[in-house]
Amino acid sequence: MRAHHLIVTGGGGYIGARLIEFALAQGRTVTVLGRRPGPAGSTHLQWALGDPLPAGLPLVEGSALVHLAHDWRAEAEDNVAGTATLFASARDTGVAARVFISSQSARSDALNLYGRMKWAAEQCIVGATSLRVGLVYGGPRQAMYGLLCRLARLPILPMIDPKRAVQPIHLDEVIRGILAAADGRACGVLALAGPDRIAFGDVLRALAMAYGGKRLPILPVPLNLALLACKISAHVPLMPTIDKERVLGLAGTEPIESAMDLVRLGVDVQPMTARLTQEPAGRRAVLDEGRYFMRYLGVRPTPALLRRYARAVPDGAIARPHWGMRWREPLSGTSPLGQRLRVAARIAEASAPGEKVLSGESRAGRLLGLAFQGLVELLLLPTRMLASLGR
Amino acid sequence: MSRLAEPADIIIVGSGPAGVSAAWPLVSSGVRVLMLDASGAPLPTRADHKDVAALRTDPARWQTELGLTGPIADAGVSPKLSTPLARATLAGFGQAAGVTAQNYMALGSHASGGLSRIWGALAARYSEADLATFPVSAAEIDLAYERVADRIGVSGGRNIGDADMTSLAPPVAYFADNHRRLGSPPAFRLVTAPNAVLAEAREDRLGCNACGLCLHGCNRDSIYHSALELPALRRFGNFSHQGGVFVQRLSFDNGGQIVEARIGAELVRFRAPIVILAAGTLATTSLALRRIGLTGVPVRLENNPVGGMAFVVPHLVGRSLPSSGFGLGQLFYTLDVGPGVEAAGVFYGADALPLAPVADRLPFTRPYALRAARALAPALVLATTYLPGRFSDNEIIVEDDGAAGRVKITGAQSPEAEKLLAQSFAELARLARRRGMWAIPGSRQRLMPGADAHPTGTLPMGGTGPARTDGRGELEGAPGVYIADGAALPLLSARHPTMTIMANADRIGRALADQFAVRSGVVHAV
Repeated sequence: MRAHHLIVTGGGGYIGARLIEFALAQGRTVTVLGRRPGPAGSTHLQWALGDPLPAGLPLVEGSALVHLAHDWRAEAEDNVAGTATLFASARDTGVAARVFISSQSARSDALNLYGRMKWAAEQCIVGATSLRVGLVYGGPRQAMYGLLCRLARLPILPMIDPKRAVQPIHLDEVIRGILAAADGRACGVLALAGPDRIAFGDVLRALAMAYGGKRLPILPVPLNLALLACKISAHVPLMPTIDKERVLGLAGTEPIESAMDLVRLGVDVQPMTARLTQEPAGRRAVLDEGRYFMRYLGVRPTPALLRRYARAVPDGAIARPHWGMRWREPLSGTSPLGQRLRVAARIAEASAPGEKVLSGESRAGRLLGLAFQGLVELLLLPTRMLASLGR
Repeated sequence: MSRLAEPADIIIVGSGPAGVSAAWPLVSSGVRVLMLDASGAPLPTRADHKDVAALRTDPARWQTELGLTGPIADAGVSPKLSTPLARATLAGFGQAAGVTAQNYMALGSHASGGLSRIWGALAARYSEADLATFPVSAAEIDLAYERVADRIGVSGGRNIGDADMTSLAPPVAYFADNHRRLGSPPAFRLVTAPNAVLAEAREDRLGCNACGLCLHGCNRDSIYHSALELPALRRFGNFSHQGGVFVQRLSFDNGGQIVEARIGAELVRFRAPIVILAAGTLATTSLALRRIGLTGVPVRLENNPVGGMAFVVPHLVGRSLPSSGFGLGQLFYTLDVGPGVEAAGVFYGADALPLAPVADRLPFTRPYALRAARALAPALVLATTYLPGRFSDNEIIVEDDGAAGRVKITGAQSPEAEKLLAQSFAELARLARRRGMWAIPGSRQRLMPGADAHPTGTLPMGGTGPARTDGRGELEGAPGVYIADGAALPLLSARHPTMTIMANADRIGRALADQFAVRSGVVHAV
């Protein structure tokens, strides 16, 4: 049964906002429960965690509740009790599909409070669907994903347990899963996480590569030291505060079997690396890469040439030097960097700006320039050899 | 399964040089011919620039040279195969024919005109010694050569002594001039490249004006490709051509040969007493071997082991590139590299070629390599060297799997091929050095088996294995099925095979036309 009408709490959040956007685009009606109204096209009813379903709700056939709201400032018991109240009233008013957005860390003995709380809430919502969502990435850089994007930009990343397995899933794939649950495709406790387990350090490395064109060195840090750092960060002014909850949430994540649940929900999860290149930041990084290579070649990059470059390298940005390319260019043409440079060179050569650069000057000027630059090439050889070894 | 009732005496599968050459004698003697090819997707529009200089400064130049999308080819692929035209010509073949290849570049085409859309247009003829291995008289092939050359228009092929060399790229002309002064050693024969290119206008085709855009599809149709002949064939009422037909399998019943094909998603059967396969060696082999049930068995597949090298004429380095030129082969040579072993190849100028492939091979930093390649280009001569197919050692296995079968190719070359290629390179370097050209160190390159695009000899005429054809190209074990393309060649000489394939197809078509005249006693009115 299709959920024609979605009742959404937490509609302003990372997942909620995208969910409403999707649902409206599919022609569903959306009622946002919360303090602030949702986007144009949605109806808004005042609601706060702890309240039952508001009285003025138009309950048409095919209504579904999606509960995303979580009050970080409230006590754990209040979150659990608020969820229970909401779901009980929804059940009593005849909302058939009731979907609770839970977490992969939901366990009675989770390290983090959030995980324990989600587990507790799951226990008191009989007959509802609970989606245990994995590590969500993609879309606007908010929530955990926003934090990871910021961390991936660091020159070196201290990290607790970088081998800890996580199961990334794209925001749009999560939305598809939520809508499928709202439509009643599957019910019960379901894992909405990527089927593949990926080392958490590799997730950050993939982000650094796809969005920043660089390798991310990771320094493993013991958990206790990290918690100490959280404590300190809360007291030192001007330093970004690191939430202890987030640290514990990651440290305590246990793998879940999601493949069957994904089939039940009809969600096809693509590998993270493939999706990152399609994100705006991933596309931008490829264009940046092309621009840097073209400039290195001495050819003015036009937007059309850069787009052609992007279409020639569908695998997204690779790790590359961001400066000093001339003395760091690898000797081999078969390394990833060497190959990309050759792609850029081919585009540069086949361009009008390239032709201008290459055909300029008199014969004597050209030959003199080549002779001089030939000497420079000799001087560059040792550092280029070193750079080739390093890669 | 629907049935197209197109009354035809002979179905020809493929509109490449072989299919068209077989069609002419049949059609002109009144036999009803239905030609099927898989063409469907349009080829990119041809560059309409005045000359290569106009292309170089066109802001949209990259679209012509690299195409709008898709990967940008690496250095291992000949520039001839990396243009958008080439990619569109080759597109989809491997997948549709179910080809998997190991150490072999499996090239075939679904375009109307087949691989001739992107060929180098070299119209060399086989030597007398080569033709002696054919199960027919050399005189018969020679006559067919003449007929084909008349039809398609061939220029060049003259001795350096009495050729006009104004059309050659400056470094090639310099080399040829020195060769003329020094004279020819007996082991090295150099002629202006015999190209299937019109010097003068003829019917719908214009004469070559050396604009230099050859690589991107001649916009004057001076360079021959076989789809150019389809309009003339269509003027005959007894010829029909149907594109978009992907032939999947052959079968037969009492009524004759059945050609099972796919048109879009629809399965269609065509029927005729005789089928001529001219779909290109790989596709033809797949159809033929499945037809005679010779599946799962390795069959020998020949190709020309091929390499390339670059020379430079020092006093031309750094000059400006000429604004026009001729982008195909300029000189053709044969070279004796051992007792009874003849290598052959072509000298090209580099002034109308993309430079990046040259730059790719220079060990400098990219900015310098691009500039160095540009300075080298006007002084550069590129040479290919081909060895006879007997030094290749490829295997093709056809599996009767799915509607269109599967083809597995394993590429290999005899150890001798390596040695002979090296020997040929060394000899060329020595000859060139005495004629004012320096071989560029590190420029020697051996291409992967199959990259020559000369797959042949899987069903040799007069062969002794189970996969063979008789002297008229009729497939052993399948009376009524004739093989007219490279698959039927009994020998792959080092000299480019297209002209010989066309001559043989013409001969096979002619023999069939005679047979029809005798058997039916009726010549269908045109």
